[in-house]
Parts: sequence; C-alpha cells; structure tokens
Amino acid sequence: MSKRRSNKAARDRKGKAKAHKSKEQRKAKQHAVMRGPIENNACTLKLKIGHPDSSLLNEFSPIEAIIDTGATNSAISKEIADKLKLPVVDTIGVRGVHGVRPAPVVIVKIVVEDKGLAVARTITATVQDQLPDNMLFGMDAMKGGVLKVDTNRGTWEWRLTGL
Amino acid sequence: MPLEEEIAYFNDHRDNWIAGGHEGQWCVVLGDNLLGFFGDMPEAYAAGAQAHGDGVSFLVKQVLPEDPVATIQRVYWPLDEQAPIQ
Repeated sequence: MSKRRSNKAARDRKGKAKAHKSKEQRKAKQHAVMRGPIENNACTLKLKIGHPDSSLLNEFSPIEAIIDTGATNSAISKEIADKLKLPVVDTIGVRGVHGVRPAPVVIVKIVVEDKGLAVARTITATVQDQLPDNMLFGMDAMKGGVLKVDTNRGTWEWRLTGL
Repeated sequence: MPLEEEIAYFNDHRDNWIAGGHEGQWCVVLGDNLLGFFGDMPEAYAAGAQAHGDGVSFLVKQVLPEDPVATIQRVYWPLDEQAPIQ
C-alpha cells in the first residue's frame, strides 16, 4: 500500500514538474513574438538601435524600420550610422535598382521590445546614403523566425523560433 | 574605401584559410595582422573590440570562397551617379 502511495506521489511530482516546464516554455514562446502594423503597404517595426558595445537600454535610440523580405541584407541610413558612430567592419557590393556599388558594412545592436521583454541582437547592416528609410530589416536579420503578413488586418507578426 | 589594407590582406589569404578548414568562420584582421577565427559575427566583433580598443577600425568578415553581393532593391542611386550595371 505504502509502495503504491509513494509511486503515486512520484507520478504527481513528475506531472507537476512537467506542467511547470511546459508553462514556462509556453510563456517564453508567447514572449518571442513581435507584432506591428502595415503602414503605407510596408511592414513597419519599431525598435531601438545602438552601438554594439552599448548594454544599457537608455543608450539606444528608437527608430522605425521597414521589414524588407526582398533585401538579402539589412541597411541603415548614413545619417543614423554616423550619429551612433557605428563601427565600420567591412565593405561589400550592394545590388540596387541601378547596378552594383560598394557600401560600408557596420555592426549595430538592435533591441526589439514586446510585452516587457527585450530581445537584443547584434547584426550587420550596409550603410546607404540613398535610403528612403531609417533602416531596412533584411532577411539576414530575420533569421531564426517565422514572418506572417496579414494584409486583411493590416498587421504582421514575427515569431522568433530560433532563440 | 574603408579597410582597404585589411580587405587586401583577407583576399590574399582567403584560399589558404579555406584550405585550412576555416570556411564559414569569421575572422578579425587589423592591418596585416590576423587576430583569429571565430564561430559567429558578434563573437568576432567582441574579440576585435577587446583586442584593439575603442575607435580602431578592424575587419570582421566571414571566410567564404567569394564575397556575397547584397541585393537591396529599395536602394537607388541618383541618375547622375549611376554605376554601370555589372
């Protein structure tokens, strides 16, 4: 009898641990979702960016970026790259509308906040002085996630599955 | 062009590094000195910043057989500055 009771207690403990774990996993999964509106037919993402050596949130500047699935690499305007003194670490060719041109590559730390959770990533971005936006969030920065675009509701969702 | 010396050094050594099994890794180069190879870009940048200090430009580049060309269609060049299409 006592053996049966102890087996039941062990099963209960195991069940509670499993439930606790899956609750935490569910919470983490819920938190790793970024959402935003589609404005002027573009998916806009509000994020904070800063120098890669920055670690305090107040050292980051808020900007609005465009999610661009047609861009292989992220891009940032020269004005913002200069303002944040982002370190240049390479030069690569960029194929734009009118051909290929070399462009400096900077390292930038981005912070995306959602429901109290801040997700930080260090990415590279090409510096463009002819960019009509502050920043383009290219496919390189979207790695590790699933992007859903709902043009009926005018919203997009980026679920970070690779964290 | 920024980091011209470092990029020339990278191009001179690229084939040897690939033959040495470093393809896909990230390297850090300052002048004609290789700091090392690293598993990812943030790790390589952090190592370079720690070794070389603030305000010093150094190359952080992935070792690949050819340099990838980025495609960013939203970027345009002014008509009077257009480069020939390659």
